[in-house]
Amino acid sequence: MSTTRRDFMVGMSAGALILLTGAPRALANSMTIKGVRYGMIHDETACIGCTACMDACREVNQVPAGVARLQILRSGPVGEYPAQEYRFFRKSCQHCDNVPCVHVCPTGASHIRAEDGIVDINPDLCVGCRYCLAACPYQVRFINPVTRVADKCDFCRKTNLAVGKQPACVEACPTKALVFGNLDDPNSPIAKRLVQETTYRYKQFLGTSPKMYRVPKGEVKS
Amino acid sequence: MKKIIKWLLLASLALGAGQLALASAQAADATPAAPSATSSADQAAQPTLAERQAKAEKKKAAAKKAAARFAKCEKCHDGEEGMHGKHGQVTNPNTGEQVTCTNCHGNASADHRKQRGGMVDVMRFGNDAFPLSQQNGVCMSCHEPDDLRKALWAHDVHATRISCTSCHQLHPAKEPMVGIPEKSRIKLCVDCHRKQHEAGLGGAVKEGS
Repeated sequence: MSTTRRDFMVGMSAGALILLTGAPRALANSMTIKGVRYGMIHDETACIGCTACMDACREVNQVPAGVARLQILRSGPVGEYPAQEYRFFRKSCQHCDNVPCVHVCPTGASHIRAEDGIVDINPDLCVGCRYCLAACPYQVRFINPVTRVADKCDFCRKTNLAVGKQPACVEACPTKALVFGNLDDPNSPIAKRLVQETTYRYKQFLGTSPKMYRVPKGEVKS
Repeated sequence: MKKIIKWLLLASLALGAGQLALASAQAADATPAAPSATSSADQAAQPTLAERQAKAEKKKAAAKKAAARFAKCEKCHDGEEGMHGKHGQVTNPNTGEQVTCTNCHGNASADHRKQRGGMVDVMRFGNDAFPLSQQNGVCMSCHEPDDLRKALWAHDVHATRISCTSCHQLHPAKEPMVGIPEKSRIKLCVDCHRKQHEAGLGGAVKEGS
C-alpha cells in the first residue's frame, strides 16, 4: 500500500481539525460547576502560626518530606518588644475558578471538577512537564517525588472529604482559623461569614477568582 | 632456607637501627629551638599570670559561696525540689558569679516558711500570688528578648502574657523545652490555644488555662 503526499496531508489536517475543535469543549466543561463550590476562609486574625495544619496535611495526605501542599508563612515581627506582632499567610492551592494551571495543561490532567469546583490532578494523565508549576501565580504546585506527577492541595478530596470529614487542616486548627464549605449554599457557615466579614483574595487582580478567602490582620495587601 | 631467614633478620635489624639513629638526630635538631619559643611565650603571658590566678581564686571563692548558699537551701529543699538543671552551673551575667537560689527566688528570711507558705518573701514561679511581670522579669534580667526570639519566635508574643514556667522547668535535670521535637512543640501550642479558644477568651490568655 502506498500513500501519496496529498493523501497524507489531507489525513493530517483532518486530525488537526478534530483536535482543535475538541479542546475548547473540554475547557468549557471544566469551567462549569454544578451545585457545590468548595471554598475556604483563612482567618489571619485568629491564626496563631502553630503550623498544626501543616503537620495534619502531611500526615493525612501522606505528603513526602521536602515538599508541602500547605505552608504557613510567617512574617514579622512588627512593632517594638514586647508589643510585637506576627502575620501568618496560608500558602496552598487557591482553587481558582479561572484556573491558569488547567489552561496550560497539555494532557488534561489538571482539571477543575464540575461537581465541586476543586482544582484537581489526574495522576494517570499527568506527564510531569511542569507547565502548571510555572503557570500557577501562587506557586503552590510541586512534583511529588514519589508519584513523579504534579501535586497540590485538593481540599483532602481523596482522604478526609471522601469519608465525610472536613479537610485535615481545618480539623487540626486549634483556633478555628480555617472555615471550609460550600460557597454556593447561602446557609453554609462559610457563606454566612463571607457576607459578614471583610475578606480579601490573594492576587485577585490577575482574574484568577480564587476560592481561598482571607480575613486580613491589619492592612490589606493583595 | 636457613640462610635466607638469617639474611632477612639481619636486614630488619639494620633497618631498625637506622630509623632509631634518624629519630634521635631529629630530636637533637628540635630541642635547641624549643626553649627559645617557650621563653618568649612565658614573657607574653607573665603580666596576665597574676591576674589569672586572682581570677581563678575569685571564681573558686564564688563557687564555694554558691555551694554554701545552695547547701543552706538544700537543707530543707532537697531531692526533687533541688536544682538539678543547667541553672545550677551557669554564671549570672549580672553578678559574674554562679547562679544561686536567691538570684531567682529572692532573699528569703530565716522564718520564710512560717509566713503562710513563704508567700511574702520567696518568689514562686507559676503562682498567681506573684504578678506576671515580676515572675518573668526575673528570667528577663538575664535572658534578652533577641536571644529568646532566635530560639523561638513565639517568645515575642507570650513574654507578657504567660509565665515562662508555663512551658519551661528549670529545676529538673532535663529542661523539657530544650531539644523538644517539633511535633511535641506544636502540640503544646495546640493544646493551650484550643482550650483558650473553646473558653472563648479571644486574645487574652490566662495563666494555667
